[in-house]
Amino acid sequence: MKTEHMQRVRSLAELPRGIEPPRDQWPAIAAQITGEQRPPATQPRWQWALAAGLAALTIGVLLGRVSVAPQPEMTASSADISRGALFDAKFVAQRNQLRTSVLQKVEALPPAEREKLLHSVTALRRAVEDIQSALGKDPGNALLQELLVNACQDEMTNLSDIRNSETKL
Amino acid sequence: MAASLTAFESIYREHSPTVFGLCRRLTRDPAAAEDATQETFLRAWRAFAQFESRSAVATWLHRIAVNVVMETRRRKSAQMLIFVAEPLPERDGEWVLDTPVEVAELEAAVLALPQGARDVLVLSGIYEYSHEETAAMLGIAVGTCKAQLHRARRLLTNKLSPEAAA
Repeated sequence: MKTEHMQRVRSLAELPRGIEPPRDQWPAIAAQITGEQRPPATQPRWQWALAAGLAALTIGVLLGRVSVAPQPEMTASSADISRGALFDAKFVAQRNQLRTSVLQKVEALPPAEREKLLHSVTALRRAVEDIQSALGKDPGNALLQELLVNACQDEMTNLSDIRNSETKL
Repeated sequence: MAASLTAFESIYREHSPTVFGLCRRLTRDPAAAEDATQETFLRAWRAFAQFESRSAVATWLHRIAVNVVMETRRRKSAQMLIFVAEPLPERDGEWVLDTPVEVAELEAAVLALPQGARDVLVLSGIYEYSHEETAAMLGIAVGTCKAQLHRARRLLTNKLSPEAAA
């Protein structure tokens, strides 16, 4: 280092760009990194998608044990759901009505099956609410918007499937 | 996480000297430079998942470092930098001393420059960023950047080879 400093130069470009830090800062940086969560921008999205996916899968598995009847009057099929429709009062009212009828139907199920379905339906709803909450803070986020549409589609599809299924187990 | 951390440590090992060097020259304070270096790498880690162009990692880290130093300055002092307009240089060639000086002497002369002139000189003279890049990093106009560089070089020349400036 001393020799380097005694070297003679005529221009700024000849100066060494790097200066060795007086101590290794990596242990402190690594400790702080490992003390933090993973970058917050990515993790919750995976969690939401995973939560919604798992809940939908559970409902599908449970419904697989009952015969699914033809679907005569789907109030809002997944194809009907667009980004704008998610905030439409009519859509919200339909979803709430569907949810109420599903909850009534689930009440008639044996306790074990009822608990599993309720848990999954609640998980789907929570995923939708978490994504809506995140969108409130970051309204322009296209990925969150897409996640919300997907989660709402999953929720509506599964609620409709439950409602239209026969309860003979 | 472990694999990413290992990759990130290699980035730290490779780039910490230039990041520390940049922070040291901008802050003139070794302790502040250490703090700024640490904060730079922490911010870089948080944004690591979004970083795609590995080839420009040095530029990316330097931008973060300059932001960290500028934010620290703003927190410490709300005073406005008053810039006195000076004539722009007619040509922008490399600044070269007639008589070589020791590295330590040139480093000391750089550190003694006024803040605005030093910021520009460090980024464009030592790290060889263009006027546009330097101006963007510092949040100043390109014209201001050129004028500050001209001012810095004149002050350096006066300090290091007064006979040439006379």
